[in-house]
Amino acid sequence: MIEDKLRQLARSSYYQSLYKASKENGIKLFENDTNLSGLQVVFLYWLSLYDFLYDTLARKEYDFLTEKYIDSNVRVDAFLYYRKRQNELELAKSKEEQLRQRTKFKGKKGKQTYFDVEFA
Amino acid sequence: MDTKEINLEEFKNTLFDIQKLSYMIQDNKLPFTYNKECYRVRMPSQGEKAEAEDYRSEKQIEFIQRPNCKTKNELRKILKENNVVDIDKLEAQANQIKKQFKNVYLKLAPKFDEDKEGISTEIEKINELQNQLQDVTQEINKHLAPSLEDRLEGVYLEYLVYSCTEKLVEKEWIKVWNTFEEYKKDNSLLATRAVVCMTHLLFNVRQF
Repeated sequence: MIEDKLRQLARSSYYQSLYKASKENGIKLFENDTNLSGLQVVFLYWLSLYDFLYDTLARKEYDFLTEKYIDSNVRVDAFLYYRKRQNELELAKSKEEQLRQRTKFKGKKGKQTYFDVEFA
Repeated sequence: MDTKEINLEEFKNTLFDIQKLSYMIQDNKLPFTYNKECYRVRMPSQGEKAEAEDYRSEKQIEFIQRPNCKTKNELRKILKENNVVDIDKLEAQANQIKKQFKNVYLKLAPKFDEDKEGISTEIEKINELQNQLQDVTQEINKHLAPSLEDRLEGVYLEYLVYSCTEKLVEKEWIKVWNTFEEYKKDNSLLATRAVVCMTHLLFNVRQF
């Protein structure tokens, strides 16, 4: 329950603007600079995450991502897992690709030599 | 649910309405009222944390000398051998539910706002899985609560509550309990409320 409310607060335009200002101009988010409470640490996590989501929305990276989407906690949770899975699959694909590009050469005496070649 | 529990539930609900929450995250303190007086719990200093850790170590030595003191692993074994409950199986069940969660997430994520029916079907599945996971987790926690580790965590929290709960008296914040013994003897709802507030203030960042 409390986390849902923290998330609601973190995605509000007031706190998102404050977060941007704190990143760009060093405006203080909290009265204390040190010894942050667990509540503040979790709040910071959600601030940065929603900041990332609104940036992703502005870049139109995913056509299904909308403001309404971001307002739903469960859909955001689903999106984060979906994105993580996508990144993992892309990484696996690129590793596979690198392996495929490992070129095989035959030496003079019939010896086979392998080189790792990176293509730009 | 007895009156004390109802009061606590109401207290938790009122504690975190959105306006109050906005005020609470401004600093590392959490104010609350009890019998129309103002109290607060605040984040412990390094010194207070060290004191609480010392107390926890002291209690650890005391607990392990008791014949019935069991660690989580020992307790797990006893529960299984006596056919009370198999925690390994419950954990496997929890992992299975988490896997199902991931599958539903993958279906839900790419849905467009227009697909209202599809979205609500997947959200219902998630809610159902969440309830199942909560039940299994509660079952695990209930059986492992008497373990040494859980008891020490409770001891540490109580010591922090004693050190960091303050009352507003004539514009000054003063400690509610002068000694830990005084705190332990306090059976009022104030002590319970302070524990709730401290738990939320610390927010168990480890589980996050």
